[in-house]
Amino acid sequence: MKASFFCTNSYLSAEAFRYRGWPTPPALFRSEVGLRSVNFALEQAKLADELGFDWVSCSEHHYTPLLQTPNANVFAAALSQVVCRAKIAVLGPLVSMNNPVRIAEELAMLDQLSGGRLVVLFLRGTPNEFLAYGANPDETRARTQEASVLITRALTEPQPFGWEGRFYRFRTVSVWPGPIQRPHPPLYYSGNSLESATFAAAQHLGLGVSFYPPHVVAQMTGHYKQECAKHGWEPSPDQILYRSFSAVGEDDKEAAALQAKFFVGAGIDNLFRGRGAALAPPTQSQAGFGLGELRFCGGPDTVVRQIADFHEATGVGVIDTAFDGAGLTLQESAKSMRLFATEVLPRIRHIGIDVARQQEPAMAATGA
Amino acid sequence: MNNATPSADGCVTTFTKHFVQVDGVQIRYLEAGQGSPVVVLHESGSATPSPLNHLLARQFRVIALEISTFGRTPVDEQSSSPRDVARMLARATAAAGVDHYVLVSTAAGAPIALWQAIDASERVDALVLISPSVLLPVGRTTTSGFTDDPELERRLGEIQVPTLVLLGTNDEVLPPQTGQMYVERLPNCYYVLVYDASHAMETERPEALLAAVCDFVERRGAFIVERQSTAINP
Repeated sequence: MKASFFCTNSYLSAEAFRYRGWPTPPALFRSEVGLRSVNFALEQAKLADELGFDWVSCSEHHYTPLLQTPNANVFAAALSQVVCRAKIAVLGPLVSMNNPVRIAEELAMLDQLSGGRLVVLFLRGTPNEFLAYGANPDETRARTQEASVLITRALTEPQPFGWEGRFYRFRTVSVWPGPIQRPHPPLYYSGNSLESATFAAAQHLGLGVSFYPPHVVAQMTGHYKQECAKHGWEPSPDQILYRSFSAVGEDDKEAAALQAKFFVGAGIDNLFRGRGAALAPPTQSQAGFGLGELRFCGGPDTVVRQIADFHEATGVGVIDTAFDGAGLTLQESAKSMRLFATEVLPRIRHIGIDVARQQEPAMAATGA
Repeated sequence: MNNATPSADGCVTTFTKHFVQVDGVQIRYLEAGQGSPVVVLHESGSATPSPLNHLLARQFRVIALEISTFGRTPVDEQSSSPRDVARMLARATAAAGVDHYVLVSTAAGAPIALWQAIDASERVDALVLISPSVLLPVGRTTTSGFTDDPELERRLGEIQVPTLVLLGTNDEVLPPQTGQMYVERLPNCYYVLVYDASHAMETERPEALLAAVCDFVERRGAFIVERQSTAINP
């Protein structure tokens, strides 16, 4: 089992979080708070690296103080210079909304800047974020699929080529620099629906699932593995990742206190209010998705058991987790992260490792 | 006899049947449209115009030549090699009154098109190769549908005309490195991937490759320059 620290770069002032609805007006941004926020985020990333997290991750989100990383690749570039050992995991760029060739170029640069430590998850985005760049929500699934294929070809084609797609047309693509990892960095695809899991399997991409409860994740990963088998391959545990929120206390009682104040204001649900309500929220935000839930919460023994049970049920081999929903103090979230790193991580390393060792040759062949 | 078939959007293009004599052999071709001549080598079967041919005929004069080893044209047993067939079809094109043309081929027709570009280089203005079955990676043995022609492979570097190679991302016949091989072997080659298209994209999704083919026929290498306006509120 691997652990990834999800570096959210949250805005460190409650004032902005009191605003109801999405988007949050830029008028609520204070320069001194913004600077303090990003410096703290980078310090947290460096700490996560020192504490032994396998990956440090970031994700593209727009118009919200909850995650101040509208260009995840820019933030990942900064991470690559303060995180010296752990992989730099961009989980991920919203490929339905951005120029796929530009994404490929940035990913190649990131792999170069990180010395070949990049990991990438292709994401579609949430409905409110489609509004940010004027993407047609009805087209975003198909655009995500096409963009992911184009980005992969752009990272691997050795000669200039053109692209005639359903949504994208480029007459000359010739990405330079190329990635350091060959044929390409480990690639994942968002698997929060059966259709997406089917696509990921057909394209030989790893799977990233976020926030669902274990029984739903098990459905997604089970379907994914069946589809992989149809295409003649078997994913390793490392090729199935799960994004979550976590809170670790000295004991269960302390963790419960953290849980009570983990999210501030309307939390994640705020993304689907205001103009964010113009579109129906994703099925993921409805009851049963778990977007605002603490998936792993408790004292160290409890969290170890929760993760072990989660792997048993789902086959997930990478836990990507954030330790703050903007409701904790800096000291509380840092302590939670330290407890996870020192008291939980050493006791979950062995989970899934036997399967991973058996599949190492296959992982090398797929770039994972 | 006319051959009228609706294209994918329902528009009907009427192809008229013609015959020319070349060295005593009768060769059939179908013709439609006006404008710059585009000679098409059909892949197999009878010379039924493909959906792509119908779409091309809206902008160009399309001459769909029936390759003598297929269909109902009397087979000339001496014209069995791709090079021989290429020479015969080049003479047929001249007999049809076409002096200069862009040559379009699909899959197994590619060797014939390439030989024409070598032997009739003064008349072939450009090549369009759709899912071409000529080159295989080193170490791969020739399989069904591929032509084993070492001399052709040696002379590919002589082809100076602009060449467009189109491959489908879902092509399960051609290896993934096909495009790069043509770019590396032909000195003036452009390679375009058609997303979500199979080996038979000419018949299954002609609209997906139409823009690239038409732009290339009209502008050759300049087709890489985007000319469509992107202004929203000009």
